[in-house]
Amino acid sequence: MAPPFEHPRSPLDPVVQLFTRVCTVGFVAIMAAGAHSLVKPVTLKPLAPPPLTAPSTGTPQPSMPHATESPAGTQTPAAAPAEEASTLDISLAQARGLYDQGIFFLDARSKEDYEKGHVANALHLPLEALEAGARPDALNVLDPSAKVVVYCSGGDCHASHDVVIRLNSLGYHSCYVMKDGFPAWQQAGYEITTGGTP
Amino acid sequence: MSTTRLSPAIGVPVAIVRLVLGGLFIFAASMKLQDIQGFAFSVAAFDIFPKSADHLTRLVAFAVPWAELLAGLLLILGLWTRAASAILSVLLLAFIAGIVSVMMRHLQVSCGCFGRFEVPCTGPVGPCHIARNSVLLAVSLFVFWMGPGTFAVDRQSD
Repeated sequence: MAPPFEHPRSPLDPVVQLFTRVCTVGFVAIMAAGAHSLVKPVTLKPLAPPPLTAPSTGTPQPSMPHATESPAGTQTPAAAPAEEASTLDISLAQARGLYDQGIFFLDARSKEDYEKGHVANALHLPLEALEAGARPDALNVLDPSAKVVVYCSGGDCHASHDVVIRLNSLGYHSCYVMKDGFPAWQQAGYEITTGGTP
Repeated sequence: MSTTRLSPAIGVPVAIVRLVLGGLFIFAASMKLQDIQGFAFSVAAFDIFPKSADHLTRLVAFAVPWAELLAGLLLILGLWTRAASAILSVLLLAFIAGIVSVMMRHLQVSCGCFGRFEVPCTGPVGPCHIARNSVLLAVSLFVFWMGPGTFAVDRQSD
């Protein structure tokens, strides 16, 4: 009896099959990614913090060591102006105003730079410490509803903005970036200290 | 490509390599998916896409771990093995190209490859990450060439 008719196999069949399967897996991955992004969207920009207001006269935030005393021998420029537009980047003068209110400062630079010198009482919080959902010790003393000033080296340094994005994702929505960074603070003659985290 | 059935003496080691590779990518994908914001940030830090194309960064941040997860599962099952290893090979080539690009631009970027685990490379991406991905690429191409080995769904449908 004659064998049943079979279509001749093309040498391209395995290639076509492979391509089809790769496209199928890719399509499913993109669909899953799309659904995931709807459930848990990510942000690539820091959130705009609330507008800065004039510092209150009575109650500085208690936990910052310098909150109740004005450091001797340093000049203190005018505090943050009232009702500034809501902006992430703040000037040196605004940062100084917040410092005098006892707002926490976070240093986003490398450990070496931090140990060479940092804003007095600033906590070291580099980006690496916030990666992969880790919760560094520095966050244990920070109230998510409190204001925080983050700085790095000024200029084209992005570390402070990157840290703010991560802090935003952890529920800290009142983060400001001292845009001129540590060099401007140091140049102004403000308080700095050296060594490890206080 | 090898299309003949492998003898058990070769098929078992090939299956072990396939299972290890699949398991590794499932682990990598799960670490990324646990902290998708962190991985999105890592992708953005590579500065491959222009700032005006954040949607592409987001797409990559979500699609890469899901592709890794699906390919890893397929490898574990031994189903569509060559398609899965082809996808992983393309991903690894893209990772290597991205790392080379970052190194040439002297950017300090963390890998985000295994979430908070840095194995075996630590610190910013560099030659170690290229070497690691090259080894994984070689393993992936080996699986692509040899096929699923034993203990695979693909073998049942041969």
